[in-house]
Amino acid sequence: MVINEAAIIAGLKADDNGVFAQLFDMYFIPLCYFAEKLTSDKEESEDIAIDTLRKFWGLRNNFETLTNIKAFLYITTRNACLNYLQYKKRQAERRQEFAYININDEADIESLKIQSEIIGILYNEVQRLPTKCRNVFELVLQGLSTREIAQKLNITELNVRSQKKRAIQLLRLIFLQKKLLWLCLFWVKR
Amino acid sequence: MFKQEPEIHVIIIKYFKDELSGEERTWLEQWRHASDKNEALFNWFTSEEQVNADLQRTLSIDREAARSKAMYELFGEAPVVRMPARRRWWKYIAAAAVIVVLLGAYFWISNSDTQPVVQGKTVEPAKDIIPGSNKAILTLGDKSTIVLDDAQNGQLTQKDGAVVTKKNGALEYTGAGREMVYNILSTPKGGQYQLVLPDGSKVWLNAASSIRYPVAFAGNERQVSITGEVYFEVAKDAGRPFVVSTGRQLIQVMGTKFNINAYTDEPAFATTLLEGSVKVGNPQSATGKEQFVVIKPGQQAILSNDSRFTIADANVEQVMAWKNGIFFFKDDKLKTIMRQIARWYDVDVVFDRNVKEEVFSGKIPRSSSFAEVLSALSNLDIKFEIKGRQVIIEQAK
Repeated sequence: MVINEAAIIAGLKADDNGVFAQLFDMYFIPLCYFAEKLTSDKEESEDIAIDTLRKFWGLRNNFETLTNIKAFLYITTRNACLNYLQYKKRQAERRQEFAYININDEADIESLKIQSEIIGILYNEVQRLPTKCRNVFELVLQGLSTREIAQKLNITELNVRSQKKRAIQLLRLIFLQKKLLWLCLFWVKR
Repeated sequence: MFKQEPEIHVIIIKYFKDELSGEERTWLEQWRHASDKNEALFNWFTSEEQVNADLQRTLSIDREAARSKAMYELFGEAPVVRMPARRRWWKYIAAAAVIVVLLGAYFWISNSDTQPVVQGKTVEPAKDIIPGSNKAILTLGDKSTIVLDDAQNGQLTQKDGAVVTKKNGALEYTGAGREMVYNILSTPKGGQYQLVLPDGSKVWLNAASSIRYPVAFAGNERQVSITGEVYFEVAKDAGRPFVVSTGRQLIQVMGTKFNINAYTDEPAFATTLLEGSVKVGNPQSATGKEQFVVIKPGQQAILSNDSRFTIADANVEQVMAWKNGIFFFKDDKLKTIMRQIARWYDVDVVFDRNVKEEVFSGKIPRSSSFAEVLSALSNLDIKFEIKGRQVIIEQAK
């Protein structure tokens, strides 16, 4: 996806809804992930992410760069998470959670931001797989066997295996050819 | 140097797609060495289980629906749907999700635990309580012992025909050893270690664990025995099944990845399979006959104190958390949590009888200082008192 920063900033100043949609697609997932790691609440994290993007839109004229926008989005999300955690603490909860990611630790937050961006990229790339390939692939991630996937998607096992192979073929080779082949075989066997 | 500093997440993704330029590669190395948190982040990404779990959970979010909703609320109209550009003309199709599955044995890259950066907290309990690190003791066939810490790498010994090399928290066996000579690698409380067996199988030992193995595998079976918690990646060898004994159970595998938790102070032994296939047997079952169960990847065979097996679905991310440098608790009792903490920080935990039985969830990095652990637990209704290496837990008001 080629991102044209100048077009985005201009679009914001021109109140272009389409730009909102574009930025939503860029940041919604990373913000959800970021918020979920801080609050441990999936539903709440999605609400916070949407809310943050809405607040951003309200202030759309104030941004000159994507970097500014990104910084604003993460800071706003973090504050919303902080408020939520304080609210939760005031409520007596039987199931208590303790913090892995210290919301007040700058280094932890930095790491989490990077993780969020990475998850965002992976999410996008899975979305871009050809539909059938993606459907099969998401089920593989969940640990289903070839047979279970075939049943679930109502396709043949042969079809499942070929979609798996296709996903591998679309892949850039990361490891040695050897390893890739082994995995190919491993998948096909399952 | 770069004119503009590249974004690290872009560099990391490029690394896994093998698209890094020389400059970028150098930059990545520097970034990794710049701090523990950076290294930890890199390791998170190389951990299949964690990224898998995170990615799975994220994929269930319906971005389209959320966007439609947001746009309707903001603009009160049917959303402007931007069709994603069709793939025909797109050159850069990459099945990134497959990256996650392919992220295999990166354990050679992952470093040993280093001292964590204390975050300047006000709580300063016994300063000599530090998190675990690569420590182990190797006992040779003639009962002589070698203490392994991070001091020197290189070839350790050439006894019994086997060549043993030590490198950054891992021990590797090569060469033709004499069969029937056994070595034992054991970790103390606060220790962990890695090992490559003579057949190429890889072993990770958690704290307070051990593995006894021959310097060369002879015969038609590869046999080892363990105590504590050990994770295996067994090299395929169709002709010779790999058998692990924990004293009360035998686990038979054919080239596979699995984790065994056999701490005797835990209520049950649990064998969790990640890949491949295993058969878990109980040679001394109550009925006198051997019983065994076969489990599939993602399942756990649990042997309870009354010698019965149950099979359950496992939370692989949680089971493998220790190997990935994290404590992962999910609805766990405080006593269970503190047993793990005690083994890693080498402390003794005593509970005051007023402490309520409650369950907790959360994650803490294993590289955390003890102060950070207590700080993380400070949200709970308990108080800690530290006397030397003893930690006393009481109910807070």
